[in-house]
Amino acid sequence: MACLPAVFPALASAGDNLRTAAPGKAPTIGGARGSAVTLSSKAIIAANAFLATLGEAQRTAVVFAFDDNVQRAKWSNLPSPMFRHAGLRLGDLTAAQRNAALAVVAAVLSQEGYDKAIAIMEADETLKTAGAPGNVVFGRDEFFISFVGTPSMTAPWMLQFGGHHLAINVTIRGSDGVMTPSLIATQPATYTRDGKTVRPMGTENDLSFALINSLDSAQRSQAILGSTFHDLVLGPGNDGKKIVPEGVKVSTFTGAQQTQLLELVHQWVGMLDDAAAAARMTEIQANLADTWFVWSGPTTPGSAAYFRIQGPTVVIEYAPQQLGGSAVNHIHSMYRDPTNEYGRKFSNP
Amino acid sequence: MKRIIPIVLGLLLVAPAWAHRLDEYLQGTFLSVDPDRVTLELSLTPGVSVAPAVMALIDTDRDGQISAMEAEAYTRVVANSQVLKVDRHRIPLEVTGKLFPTPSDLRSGAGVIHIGLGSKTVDLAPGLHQIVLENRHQAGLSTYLVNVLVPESKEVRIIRQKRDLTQTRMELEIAVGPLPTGPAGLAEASSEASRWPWWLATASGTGLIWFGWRGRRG
Repeated sequence: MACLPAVFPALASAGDNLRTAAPGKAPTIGGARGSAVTLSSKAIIAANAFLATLGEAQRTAVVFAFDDNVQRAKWSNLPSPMFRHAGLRLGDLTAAQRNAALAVVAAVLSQEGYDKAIAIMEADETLKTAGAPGNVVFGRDEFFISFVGTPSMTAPWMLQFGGHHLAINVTIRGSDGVMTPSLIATQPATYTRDGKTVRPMGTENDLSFALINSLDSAQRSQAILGSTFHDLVLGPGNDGKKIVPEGVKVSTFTGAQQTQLLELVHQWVGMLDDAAAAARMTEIQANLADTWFVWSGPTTPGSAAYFRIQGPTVVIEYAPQQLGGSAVNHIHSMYRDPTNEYGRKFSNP
Repeated sequence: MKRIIPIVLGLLLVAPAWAHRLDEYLQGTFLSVDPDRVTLELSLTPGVSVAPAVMALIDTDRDGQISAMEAEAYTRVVANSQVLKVDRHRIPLEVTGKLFPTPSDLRSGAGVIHIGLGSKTVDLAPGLHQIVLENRHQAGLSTYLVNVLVPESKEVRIIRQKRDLTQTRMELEIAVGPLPTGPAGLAEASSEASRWPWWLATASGTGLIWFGWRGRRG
């Protein structure tokens, strides 16, 4: 067995800069940032600021009871009205309310995570511009925010934010926070905004091909399955399921390969607030010897290929969608912790 | 069924190229193995372009609704399309549950049909067994996913899983009961075992010991 790589580098602080609501920049959450500001306190400040902008009917619509397990599991990759989201629709909010809603998202995510969420929403806006079929509705207005449980410094609560190709579920209790399960996807996978090429999940794609191509022939022969995967195995509706792992064990990886894998994992884990993500990375690294990596599809960079990383406390799936058009331009991914879905370790939902 | 094909083809021709699941009938299966039972959880999702064809299979009286009898009948069709074999013997499946979406959800491509199937009691004696599952339902329209859930019983270990290219067929090698002493990590090494079957490793090891013992005697 190869040695484990050095402890994954501590996640960099998101900085002390105030945030704005422009695409790609997170809106302000009050200005107080830094290592002393915990996920919980940032989230509470932002959530209460958002709730203060709402009328009574809106507050009633956005907050669900923490024991509402139906709402907790009510998320999807599908657009409206194929899937009927609950909570408040961004398109129905005033500019100030919308800014405050995005500030809550910014408060629980890292800068990179927030940027990715915005890039996914903007990708959906390009679909809207292209014209939607039937009564399907795309665009940045079609994303919804809700709370399961009342935001609290001590009691558990959950932020749900999502729409087409995005379902962020963050459960928080005090200093604990998890972003599992969450669905991160995009279509198109590459587009142009303000003259710049945007690839919301480009790093995930590039790192995965670098990893599979770093494996030797024996490792590859174990990692690559001879079956096609047209979709996520553990996508929406599959909470609590544990599948038998397949592929190559990460314990056979060199230290460099393990570091590559952790960097790939971090693309999902690191969407969450930096401190919470660092704790998750430590946990995942500790279980690296019992983690598996499986691949289906060609290994030429830029191809459409499925992969899954599965360890005791993490499942990440990446599945290009063969749904007409180019599969490499339509990506679904899933991030789960089979031991701590919806933060059940600390929230007992 | 022959009437359905032109409808499907026509819909495929006009389907936009960038929306969500369109021209496929996604059939996902989770397979569970217990010492006395094999169960299947099927999630069937018709894309919007093939939904009319699937609806036509279900709504046999063409009233636009899914009656209890129609749901029951379609569930039986799906069940009869699953071929489950344990140690080469076909095992009949019984319906353990079903949940159908509304016709409108089904037609929109957002509806998922959930069907639970279970084998009659099987007696998986301690030792090695082979389980084969083949899904023959609507091959012309469908894409498939088949996966094995981690057994709830500690008596069952998945030694090897092998699918065909399209995931219509899954072959499992399983071990029931206590394993003989073998390579470390054997019980969970499903993929490793597919390249180096544990019984082959055990046999090889036994052979080496036997030859070594004979060598020392000789």
